[in-house]
Amino acid sequence: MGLKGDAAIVGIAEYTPERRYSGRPMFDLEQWAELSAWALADAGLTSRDVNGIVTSRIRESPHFVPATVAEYCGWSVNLAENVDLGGANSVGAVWRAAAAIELGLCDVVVAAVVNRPPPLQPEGAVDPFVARQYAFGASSAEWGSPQAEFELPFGHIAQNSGYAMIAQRYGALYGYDERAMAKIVVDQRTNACANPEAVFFGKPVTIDDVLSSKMIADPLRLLEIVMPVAGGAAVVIASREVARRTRHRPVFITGCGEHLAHKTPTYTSDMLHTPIGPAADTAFAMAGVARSDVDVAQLYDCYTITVLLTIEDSGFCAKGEGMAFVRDHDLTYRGDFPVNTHGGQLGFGQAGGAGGMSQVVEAARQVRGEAGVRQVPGCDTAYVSGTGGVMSEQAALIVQGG
Amino acid sequence: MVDGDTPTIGSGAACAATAASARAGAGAATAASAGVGAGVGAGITGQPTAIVKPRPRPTPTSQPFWDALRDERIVLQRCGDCGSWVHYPRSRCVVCLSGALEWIEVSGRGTVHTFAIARVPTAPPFADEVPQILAVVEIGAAASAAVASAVLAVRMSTTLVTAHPESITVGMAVEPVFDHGADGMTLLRFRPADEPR
Repeated sequence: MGLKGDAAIVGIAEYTPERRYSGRPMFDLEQWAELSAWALADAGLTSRDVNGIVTSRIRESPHFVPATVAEYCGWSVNLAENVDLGGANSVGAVWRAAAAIELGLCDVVVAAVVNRPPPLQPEGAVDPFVARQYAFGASSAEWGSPQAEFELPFGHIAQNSGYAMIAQRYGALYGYDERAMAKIVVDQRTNACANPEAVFFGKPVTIDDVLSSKMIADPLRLLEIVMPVAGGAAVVIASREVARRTRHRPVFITGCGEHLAHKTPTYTSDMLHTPIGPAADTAFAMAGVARSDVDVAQLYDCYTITVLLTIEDSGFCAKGEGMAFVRDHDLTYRGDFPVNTHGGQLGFGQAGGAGGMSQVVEAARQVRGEAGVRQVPGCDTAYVSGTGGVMSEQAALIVQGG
Repeated sequence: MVDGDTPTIGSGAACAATAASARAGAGAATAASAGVGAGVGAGITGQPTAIVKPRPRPTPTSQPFWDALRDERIVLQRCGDCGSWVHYPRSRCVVCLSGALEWIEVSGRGTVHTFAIARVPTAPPFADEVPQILAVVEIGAAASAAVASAVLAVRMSTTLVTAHPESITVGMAVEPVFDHGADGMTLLRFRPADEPR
């Protein structure tokens, strides 16, 4: 059952995240083309080699995304997949590409997620689709949508309060150490300070800095919440055979899993046992890898509580012991349990829905041994998690050096 | 892409394709967002419009729930086949997909499953409610179920009405508050059961 491990990440490309974008505004299609060109060049492949794509929503065409992207980039593909898993899009895209390659449908797949600002429309008007789609964060305001009818009227909107409610319940059942939560931010910021590409490069923080930052939604403070940035990333996934003629150490995809059961955590059976649990169990079993074999963990980190619950539910410690785990382990690239070595989205920046791809790219970089001063010595096995919505869609990857 | 569109609305976001920012001011991640940022209050015509709170729009399926609230009664769906309680209202049972759902009146007394106190509005139209006391309330049902796997409690998203937000705890007993709007819709909020009126 599962992946045989015969597909690998062979090319990576990433925009430097920027809080205030300084470049030319770009359509999503233009970002797709540019990042794909860079990732293919990184792999030593050409555009003519591409025969599969995995996309997610693009601004210019919310429907028929794969056809629009393939036509724009001049690709003729046997895999035309579009994923709709929010922040889990990146992990979800990579395993779908690997599965399609192992099925023999294709042997070079590009997956990109983009988040640079587009040009302003000539008339200066807000695009009606954009205005309506984004008026309430990730919630649907359409008639008949359960969110429109039973969430939005109460102000249950977007992510902050949803994650705060999960954290609040965690504290009531298992106890809450705000200094341990702040340490997640501090350790990841240390990693960001070893990554010149990170938005918080050169800006270390202390636990007290985190605890003195503005309370946004109790118990979550400003520095426990990601910084939105412009950015984006692309990866090229290829078959073992193609990987032999690429330029870097192939990063094989040996395990994957995915799980979801809700859109709004109000309606899930237990909001403290998150979907990454079954996803991780599937991924580790598929890869035949033990938790103790993991050299680096790139954990989706929209909020500190996401990291805490992902450490627990991925099986790195027992339920309720996450705070102690964080206290007892050094989560930096120099530490005994390196987490989010690029700084995580908390330290690197969150390029919207593309934020999760930074974790895939960093996992590949670490396994390739190209992470510079933050390189974890002898890194062969990386675990990557992706999270969408309010701890709703979650996906897990195990990648290993060949 | 999406971040910059709406730098202040929908605060937070992070894990969705539509990440907006809690960091009002700092949230304008992109140059373009300065122009589109006004989209926070923009109607679908693209012109700035008055910011209004989203209100529930009943469907044929949910209409009995809203009609009852207007009369200060609470009705929930129960599955005639498996005995599970269902909320929000659906066309079929969320446990067994039976279509045999019936409306049953309940007291509306429940407990706080969890809550969050939003110090920054979750969206600009809610600025007047800050601090917003967002909550998930669980309403249990004593009725016996036909099958062991039946769900005997429902949870709903709501807000708590109290002068003492610092006293809210997970597990606290709450009772219904019927918030009648000028538009004829009644929202079901809750208040601590032991708080003097």
